[in-house]
Formats: sequence, structure tokens, C-alpha cells
Amino acid sequence: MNHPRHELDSVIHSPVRFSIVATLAAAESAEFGFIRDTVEVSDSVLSKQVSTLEQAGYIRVDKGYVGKRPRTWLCLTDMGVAAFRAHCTALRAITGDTDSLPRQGGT
Amino acid sequence: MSNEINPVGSLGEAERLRQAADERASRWYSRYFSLAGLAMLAVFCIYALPSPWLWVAFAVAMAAALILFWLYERTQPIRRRASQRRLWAAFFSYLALVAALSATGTFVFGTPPTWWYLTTAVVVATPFFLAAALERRHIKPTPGMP
Repeated sequence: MNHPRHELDSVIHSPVRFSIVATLAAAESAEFGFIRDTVEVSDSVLSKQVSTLEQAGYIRVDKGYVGKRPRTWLCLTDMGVAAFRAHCTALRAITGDTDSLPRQGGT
Repeated sequence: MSNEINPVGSLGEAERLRQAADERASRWYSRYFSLAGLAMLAVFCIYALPSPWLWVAFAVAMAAALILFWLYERTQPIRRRASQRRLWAAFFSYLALVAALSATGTFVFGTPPTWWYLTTAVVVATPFFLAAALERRHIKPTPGMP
């Protein structure tokens, strides 16, 4: 069981969830609509995947208002950041490239 | 979409999404800091007014500007890590420059002339314009645009 594929995170491995987590990794928090447009999925698909990630403890969901408009904010938890980095490390190990991981946002 | 492992594609996608989010944030934060710089420049111009309530007017204008910018930031779809730290760093640099240049102006002129205030207003707003310039470095030029 030494192959790096065993280190891949089964929650993040799904393409949509991976894209959601990758986008959130670049920011402190992002609005639901922004993630939906960036990842190019429907509201219902995003909502379902967000629930899965939230149950895994990888993201936090905050609901609030801007004026009278309801907004939902998504934020990667510390556990989510660690899982994403470990997942990317495993992907790099599979490709044989361990030089650079996707960088975190907020330089 | 399949669940097959495509490490190169996944890592490329992660980098593309990171850049998209980073660039979107940079576009907004560069505008945000530019506007904050202009607002702080305008707030400082209160010093040039012959008012006995100078400090009160300055404090009220400053508080109003900060509240407006806090509300403005809440309308944005993406928040960058450490964004508040950057804003406060620019703000405290501004206050330090206000204190230093006001003291210098009073020491040199007694009652500083209007031109001194107006020149100083540009200097004290520099931290915000500097922050905006730093954000603009993250923005790639759009193809076909100058």
C-alpha cells in the first residue's frame, strides 16, 4: 500500500468537489454564486456537493444578508486546507513531480 | 465527469481556478484600495477647513469612511486571506503619516497654509494607492486591451 494513489482523499477526489475546494483554497471565503459560476455547475449540484464537503468538515457555510439579499458564504476549514494539500501532494507524487503544489491565495 | 484519476489535469485545473479566484479578488481589491485612498485624501482635506471642530469633523468623516468601506467589502463575492490586515496596515500608516506631517506643519508654519494641507493629503493617502498598485500586479492584461 505504498502507491501514492492510496493517499488521495475520497471526498475531494470527485471532480466537482475538487474544483470547489481548489477555488476556496485561493481565498478566505467566497460567495456561493461566485463558486457556482467559477466551477460552472448548477445551484442544486453545488448545494449537494457543498453539503458533502460540510459533513466531512472541509468547508464551513455561513449564511447572511447583504442589504435585503440573502448570501451564502463558503470557507475552507483548517481541516479542508490540510486535506486539499495532502490530496495535491498525492497527485504530484503520482505524476512524479513534487516540486510545487498549487499555491494558497492571499499572497 | 468521470472519477478516473487524472493527476496532471487535476493539478492544472486547481492552478487555473486559483488564478481565476486570485485575479477576481485582485481586480476588486485594487479598486477598493484606490477608492479608500481617494476617500482618505478627501477626509484629510478637512484639516484645511477653518473649523473649531476640526478633530470632531475629522473623526466623524474617518469613522463614516471606515464603516462605508467595511460595508462595501461585504458586498464582494470573494475575500482574500489577510485582506483586513492589509487594510489596517494601510490605515495605521495613514494615521502615522497624518500625525507626523501635521506635527511638522505646525512646527514649521505655526498655522500651516492650505497648500501644505493639500500636499500632505496626497502623501498620507499613499499607503492606500501603494496597496492598490500591489494588487494590480496580480492582474493579467486582457488580450486585445492596451
